[in-house]
Amino acid sequence: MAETAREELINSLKSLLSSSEYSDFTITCGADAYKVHKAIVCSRSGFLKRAEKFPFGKKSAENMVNLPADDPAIIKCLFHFLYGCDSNDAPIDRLLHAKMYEITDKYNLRGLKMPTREKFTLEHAFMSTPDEDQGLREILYEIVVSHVVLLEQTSVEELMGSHTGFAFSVIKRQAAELARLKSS
Amino acid sequence: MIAGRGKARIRPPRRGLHGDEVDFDMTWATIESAFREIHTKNASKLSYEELYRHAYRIVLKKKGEHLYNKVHDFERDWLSSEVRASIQQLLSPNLVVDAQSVAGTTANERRVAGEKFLKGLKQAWGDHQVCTSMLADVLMYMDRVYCADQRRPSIFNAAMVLFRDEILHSPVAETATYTILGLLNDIILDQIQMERDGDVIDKQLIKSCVWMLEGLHQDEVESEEQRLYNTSFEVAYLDQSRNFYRRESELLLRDSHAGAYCKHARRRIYEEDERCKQTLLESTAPKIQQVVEDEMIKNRIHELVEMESGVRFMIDNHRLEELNFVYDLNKRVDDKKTEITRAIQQRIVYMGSDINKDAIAASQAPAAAPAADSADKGRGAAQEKSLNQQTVAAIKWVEDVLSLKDRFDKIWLESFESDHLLQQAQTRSFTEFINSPTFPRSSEYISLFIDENMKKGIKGKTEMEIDTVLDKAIILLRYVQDKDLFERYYKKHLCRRLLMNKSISNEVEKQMISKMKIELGNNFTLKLEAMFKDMTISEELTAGFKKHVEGLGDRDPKRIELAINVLTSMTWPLESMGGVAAEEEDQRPRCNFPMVVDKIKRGFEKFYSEKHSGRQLTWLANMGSADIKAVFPKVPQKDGSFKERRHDLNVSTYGMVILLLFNELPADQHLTFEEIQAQTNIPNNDLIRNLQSLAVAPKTRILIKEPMSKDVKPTDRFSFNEGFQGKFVKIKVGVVSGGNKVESDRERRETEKKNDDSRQFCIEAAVVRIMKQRKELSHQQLVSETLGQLAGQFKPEVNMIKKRIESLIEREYLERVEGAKIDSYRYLA
Repeated sequence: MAETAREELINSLKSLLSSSEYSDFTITCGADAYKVHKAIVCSRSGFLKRAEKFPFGKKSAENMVNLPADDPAIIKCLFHFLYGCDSNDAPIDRLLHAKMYEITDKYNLRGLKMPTREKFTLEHAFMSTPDEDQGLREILYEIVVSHVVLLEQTSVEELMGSHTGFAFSVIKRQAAELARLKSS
Repeated sequence: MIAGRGKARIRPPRRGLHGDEVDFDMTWATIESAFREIHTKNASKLSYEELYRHAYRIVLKKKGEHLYNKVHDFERDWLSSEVRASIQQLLSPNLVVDAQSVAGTTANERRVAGEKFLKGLKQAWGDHQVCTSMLADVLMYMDRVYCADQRRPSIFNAAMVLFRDEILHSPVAETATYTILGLLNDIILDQIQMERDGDVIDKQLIKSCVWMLEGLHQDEVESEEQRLYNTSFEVAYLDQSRNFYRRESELLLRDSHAGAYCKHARRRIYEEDERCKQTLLESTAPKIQQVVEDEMIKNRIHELVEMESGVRFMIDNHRLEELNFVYDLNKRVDDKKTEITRAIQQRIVYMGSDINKDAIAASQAPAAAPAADSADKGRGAAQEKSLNQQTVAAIKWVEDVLSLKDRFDKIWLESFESDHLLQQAQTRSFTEFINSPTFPRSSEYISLFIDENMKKGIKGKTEMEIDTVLDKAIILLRYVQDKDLFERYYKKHLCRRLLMNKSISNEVEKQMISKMKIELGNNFTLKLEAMFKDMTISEELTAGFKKHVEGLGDRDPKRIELAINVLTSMTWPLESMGGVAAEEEDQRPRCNFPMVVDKIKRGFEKFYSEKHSGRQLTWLANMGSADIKAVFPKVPQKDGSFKERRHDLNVSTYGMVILLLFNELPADQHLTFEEIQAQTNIPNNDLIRNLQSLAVAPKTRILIKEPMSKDVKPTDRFSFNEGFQGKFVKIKVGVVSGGNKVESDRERRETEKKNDDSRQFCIEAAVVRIMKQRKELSHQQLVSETLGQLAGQFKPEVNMIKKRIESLIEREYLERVEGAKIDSYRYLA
């Protein structure tokens, strides 16, 4: 019974996003505009919550928030996950996944339904072709180094533990960062 | 879902993920300018997302600390320059001076200036909160990541502390030590004082400032007691209030009366409570309550109770509501309500003692001046009058005490909320004066009260009313400690009532007995019930004897009808009957009965001995009465006719014996006192009194006395008064001392002595009982147990107990325990 109820809920959330019904909040990113609902998004994101209540600015009067500096693909992902969608039925973009970590931290998102194969993503990312990896790996390093919070995630921890190379690279980058800070 | 561009190449970013050179200073400039706009309420062009992003990037680049410090400095500067300046503008020259000393400007001016300051401060605080909140929103990432990690206070909290330090702790003028905070406190205190004096103030405004103080703390410790409100304001408030109420209570006590004081105190208590709800914080309520209670009640209650318009006045003037106020105030500061209890007790004992004194005075007052023709009345009559006066005093005493009890019961119920402790205290006070050593008559008086009611008082009353009267007696009886003395009196009075047939209703008599049974136990009522039994049996004997006589043969028209009362000897207190003097106690009254009487006497004795062989009957001639049909010779009437006069005379037994002597005597002959004495053998005193009633008392001169005078001498001569005129057919010849009266002092002493004698027996019996059970006891324990056992009957004096113990030791019931550390005794079997 409970299962059916939960399924019902998720289905209705999904349809809310696609239909834009009852929307009272608009988030724009690049060319995309998402008609969302304050009750749903502001309760999950500290950033959106505060953005919504920020008393000044034209945007706030119009119940609109623009995210000019974010990747529209990520944002799209974000809202899909917020509204209960699952990425299980689509191929996973590893880079996207990495960036999802980042956005979670940036916008103080809670309980995002990330694809379950997090571990895979990171390991997979790490073990793919050098060219691709280089790019991806760099990004991963950057993310882990910048977003200290991520270190607490078990998946990252495990990755660091089982792939010393990864760990070493992260440390190297941390050291470089520190040095840079000290000198500036 | 996500249309994957899965195989596309991913180029490594050139300048790092977010742009390599995040120029701190430029970014900070943007942020700072935005903050300024926020502070100046000019933020309409700002974008939250953009500002948030700036701060985010800085923190990402590990410059969180730098940012934090910059923000901190910015805020501090803003507060110390801009905000402080605006606050300074609120300070009128007088404001500062006035707040520190009350004189100078009028109350109204002060109030207005104060309000201006409060409003300004409230505004500044409000603005600060709003702005800081927005800043914190913008800097949310820094708070989350940097502050939490480095354990620095959130930017919001830091800003709050800055406000405290830069504004509240700043001096009002450059060289002053007096701070804005100090000024704030003083202004609030001033406003509250105005309200206490009756002015209307802006409570909401003060409350806003109070909230500000509530939200800030003295230092880093964030406990409730360390709030700025508590450490700075509340302390001063309680102090000021204490002084205020101390002065006010002193003035009030001096200038107004107790009732008004109570009302005022209650009002102040209520006001302070409301003030904590509406103007200050509720957490202050218990503390200020304590202050008011201390200053207005605890330190003043004694004066309040004792003042002229205090408890005594309230009692005397039936001010029940005011007594309730005093009680209520006392209760707030003292669970035992010591002060008011003491005052009540004092009053009860005082008023009770007055009642006692009145009774004694009334009983000792010289007899009311007798009527003009005192020569006609016997000396006994005057004495009778004075004794009646005493009885009246006794009845009055009972009614006064009951009335006093009613009064205090009402007070207890209505003013003292049926308080348990006060009930006990009142009982103790009543017990105190009722059993006061200066007033030994309680038992006697209560018995007389019952006596009076049984004979007259309950006539015409309903069942319920009668029950109420009996209950009243029981109520008083409960207070009496010497219950054995009461028993003694009650028996005496009951005996007289029964034998002289004075009770209105036997049923009610029995009702009283059963109530006393419940109250005093079976032992007490046993003898009384035996007296009733004797009366019942006597009725049966009378009827039985009459039948017996009728069955014997022809009815002799002149036969005397006998109504007999047979009294079991030890049951009835006969020594107190008939005014027999103590010296003559051993002597049973003796009398020579006339032949006709003697005949019937013997007849009954025979009849009785057939029923109860082995019992000895002794006739009490000093008691009883006789109905005599007297025929007086014809005398001329007014209308000229002659008429023989017949009267039914009711006389005492002795009276009958005396009168029958004259039956055989020719009318013109006389008998002297001595002759009468010799023939009848009646004791002197009784003879004198009976002759007085038959020859001296004006309406009942059946005999003529020569010479006519009040007193009776041995040589006086008595003859039948043929010319006797009586208005009614039935004439009762009363003899002095017929009813129950208050004892003379002599009699009282005798009664008490007898009582003490029997008490000695009781004590000894109790001691032996105790020692038999316990075998060995210390002196103290023996005394206290003895007291306990006898408490239901009387309160023995410790000396008496000691003497009895020693007597028992002499008689070898007990012995002293040798070599014991404390005095102890052992039971000797």
